[in-house]
This record gives sequence, structure tokens and C-alpha cells, in this order.
Amino acid sequence: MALSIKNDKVITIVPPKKLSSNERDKLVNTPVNTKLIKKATSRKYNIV
Amino acid sequence: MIEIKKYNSITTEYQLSKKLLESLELSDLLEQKHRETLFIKDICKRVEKSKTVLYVLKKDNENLGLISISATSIEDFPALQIDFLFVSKKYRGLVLEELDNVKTSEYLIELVISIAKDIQENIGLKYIVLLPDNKDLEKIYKELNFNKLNKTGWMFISI
Repeated sequence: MALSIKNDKVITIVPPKKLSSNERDKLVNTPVNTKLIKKATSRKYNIV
Repeated sequence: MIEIKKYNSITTEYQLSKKLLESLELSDLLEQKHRETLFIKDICKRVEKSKTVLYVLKKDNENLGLISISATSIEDFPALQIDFLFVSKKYRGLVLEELDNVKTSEYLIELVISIAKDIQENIGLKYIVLLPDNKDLEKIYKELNFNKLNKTGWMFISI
């Protein structure tokens, strides 16, 4: 979720626009989970 | 029969939040129930403003849960953001045969992965991101293959 509640109101929290080098490395070097992607994309979703 | 009803600014319905709140089972705890109500009302307003698209998962016309998504970026990487995920109380933690033997939350996340991969064929997209509402949810999202980025709580999946 990118929503939170403050003083009984829903507020938006945006993802970080500046990352530390460690955070950026983690983001860039995390491999794609091909097994998960394959599982998710092989299913037919009945969207109406 | 499993069906996913998509609501965007064009297909949204009159009093959508009221209909959803009447058809979903919220948490018993009053404070959590109030938060869920606020979130669902807010998401429906965002749908009207084209800020998010909402997918409601139905089994035989009963609402199991919902997920809403929008476009964002993390640093300079284009990303798809999960704005809100909610599972009706009676279906939380339940593996359903009708959902290919996965839980409702897992099915909704995999739906989003599938949508993200479709988008990625046409425009740049690198990650699916979300910010869990609390620590308990962070644990659940880890089980759903999300990686924790940093102490702010943001989590991601590379696609």
C-alpha cells in the first residue's frame, strides 16, 4: 500500500526519489523471480 | 465462477464504495475496521479521478477481495504501485481451489504481476512496489515474494 492514515485522513506516500548506494544496489541486483512471473502469467484471468 | 471486475474512471459505478463496503467483510477490531473503511472510500474516489484502477475479485458473485494499482517511479525506475490490497475477513489465509489453490492475496498479487508484464511489453516498467500499512502485513508481503528496500518500509518485486 502507498496509502496511510494520519489524523483520520488518508494520505499518499510516494516511493523514495533518492536512494542510497546500498538501496540502489539492492534494487538493481535483486533478480527477477522467473518462477513467480511464469506462474502469474500462465494463468488466464477472467477480467470483465 | 471466478471473475475480476475492473473499475476505472470510465467504468466506475455510482456509490461504488458503499456497494463494496456492504459486500466485503471488514475486520472485527473497530480501529482496523475504521481504517479499512477510510481506505476503501478513498480508493473509490481515486478511481473516479483516474489515479488508480481497482480490481475486485469475485467468486460466484461474492466479493473475495480487491487490489488497486497505479503508475509511479522509484528513483528513476518506472514502477507499478499497489495502492491498496484488501481481502474480505472470511477469506483471509484461506487457500481456495477455485483460485488454483492459492490464497486470495496471492491471486491478486499474481494478477498484478501479469498486468505489469503486459504493460512492460509496451512501455518501460521495472518494478512492482508497495508500502505495507503495518509490520504484520510486511511479513505477509515477504511471503508473497516482495523484497524489503529499506527502513522506510517500501517493498518491491523485480519484473
